[in-house]
Amino acid sequence: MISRRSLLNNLITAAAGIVVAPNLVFANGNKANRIPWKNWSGSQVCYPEFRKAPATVEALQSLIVNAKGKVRPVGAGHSFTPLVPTDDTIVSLSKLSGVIDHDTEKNQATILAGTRLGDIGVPLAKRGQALINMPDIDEQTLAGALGTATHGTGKNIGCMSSFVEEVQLIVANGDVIDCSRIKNREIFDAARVNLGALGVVTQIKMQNMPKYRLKRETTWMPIEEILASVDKLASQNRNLEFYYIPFTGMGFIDIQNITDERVSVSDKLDQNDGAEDLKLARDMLQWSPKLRELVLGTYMKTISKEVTIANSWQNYASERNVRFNEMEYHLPRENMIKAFTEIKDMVENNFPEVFFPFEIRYIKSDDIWLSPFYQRETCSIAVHRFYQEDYKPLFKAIEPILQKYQGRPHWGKINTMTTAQFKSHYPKWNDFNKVRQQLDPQGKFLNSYLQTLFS
Amino acid sequence: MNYQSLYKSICNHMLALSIISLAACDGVQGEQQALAIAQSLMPSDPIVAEVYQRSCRNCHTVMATGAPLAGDKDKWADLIAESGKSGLVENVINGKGGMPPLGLCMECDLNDFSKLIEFMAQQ
Repeated sequence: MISRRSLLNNLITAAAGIVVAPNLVFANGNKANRIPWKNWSGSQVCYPEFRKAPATVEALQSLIVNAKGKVRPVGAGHSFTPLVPTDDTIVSLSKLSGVIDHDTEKNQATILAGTRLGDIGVPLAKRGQALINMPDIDEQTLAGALGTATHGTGKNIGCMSSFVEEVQLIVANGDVIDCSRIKNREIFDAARVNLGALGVVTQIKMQNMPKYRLKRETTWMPIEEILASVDKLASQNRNLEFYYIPFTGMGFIDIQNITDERVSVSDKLDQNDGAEDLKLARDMLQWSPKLRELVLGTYMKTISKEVTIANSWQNYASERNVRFNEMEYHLPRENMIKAFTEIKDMVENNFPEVFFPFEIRYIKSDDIWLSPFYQRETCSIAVHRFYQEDYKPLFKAIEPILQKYQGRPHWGKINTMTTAQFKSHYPKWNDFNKVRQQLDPQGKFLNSYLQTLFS
Repeated sequence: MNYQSLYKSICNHMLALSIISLAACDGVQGEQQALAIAQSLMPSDPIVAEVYQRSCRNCHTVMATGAPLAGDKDKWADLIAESGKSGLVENVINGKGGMPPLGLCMECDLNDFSKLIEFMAQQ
């Protein structure tokens, strides 16, 4: 909303007395005349000899069988961990995209692996269906999202992988393997969250629900009020997440519920503008945390409740044009408030340069071998750092707190966990690795990161 | 903190808003026209069209994404004057704003990216 945003800019400028122009420097790379592959934030880079996008399953089989060196599937590049990098072959499934089959009675649909989450809503709606839940970014491919246990929020709703009914993948020798709860059960338990380490997933049957509309309500309030009410609200609402804006004492709760009300939108803050404004406040008021809190906190108290009613797939995600690096850990639910409070205090005492909000979400437990939600009701805490700024000192300070409270990292987000630590968190780690070795005995799909984890 | 300055800023802000709202009508009409043009365009070369449809169209025909709209010749001319075509190709390779590196075309080469930019710039 332009008026409120201008107001904030005026407040910041008036308080600081100067204007700082953004000074953007984009990364550039060139090695052996190859075009680099980078993830969304630019924190992961490689120089693959081959970048392929097969248009058929047969072409993909041939590519895998004949490839020299490592083969890594790539989605939309939204993982911050080194799951993709290889200097051999990366394979995009962008030409294997779309909804190819559905079952009206069971509310299930078969979707090609390269389909981006944002492109699933409309074709599913034409079949009367919708995904049960979605994350707050929908740029990822379905295979990438499932492979890393990507999640939305909801106390009684699992991660996206928990709604997988069948998986088809091409393994190292080119075989096509179908798996489900009744067929190749062990492969199915490994494949629902697979890190791209078992082969290349080509299609997935998803359990969906009849298409629905969501009412999203965003309410700003002091963080103490959020923490006092959040667990109760999470039980009373289908989807709930909250954000805390560091150095302000303020945050907002986002709740969503299914509704029959008409599609409508109230005045709404643009999240990308919001992030830029917080950066501006950081740049100009970092010298005085109290002034920063006064200006931002005063402004945030003027923001009225936002209400957006839209088709489900349009209401979960928002455009994210301000790039960042991210650390997110999944904690036992009962540890969330303790961990959050420690992180808030540590950041506000030691990292005045931080301006991105902290994000807290709820995820239901599941039974998937490498799911961070395996047999555990979960809350996740995510901390972000602007992509052009060094994330390491902040994440290095925060990670021990998240680990102290038994956190398991998001597979696609920055962490330094070792194989030994992962093994202690995942009772089915060895079972996964056994299936992986059977399907890929030569380690064709293991890049150096995965080699470290599984060899 | 000078509260008088804050109050002055708020007053200036209200004045600026009233001026902006008068100018807004022309802007909205122009935006709608640009959007209609963007949504009507498709490359004639079927190979370029397939990549454009798969990798570019979702953002470069939607105002809210912040991506320059396909067919907005003035905007693209400014961008090319500012960075050169090679600079825009470099932006695709490195990513820019919401556009991920390689612009969601993992298999494209430099020539593919050039053709896509030329199409969107309508050159």
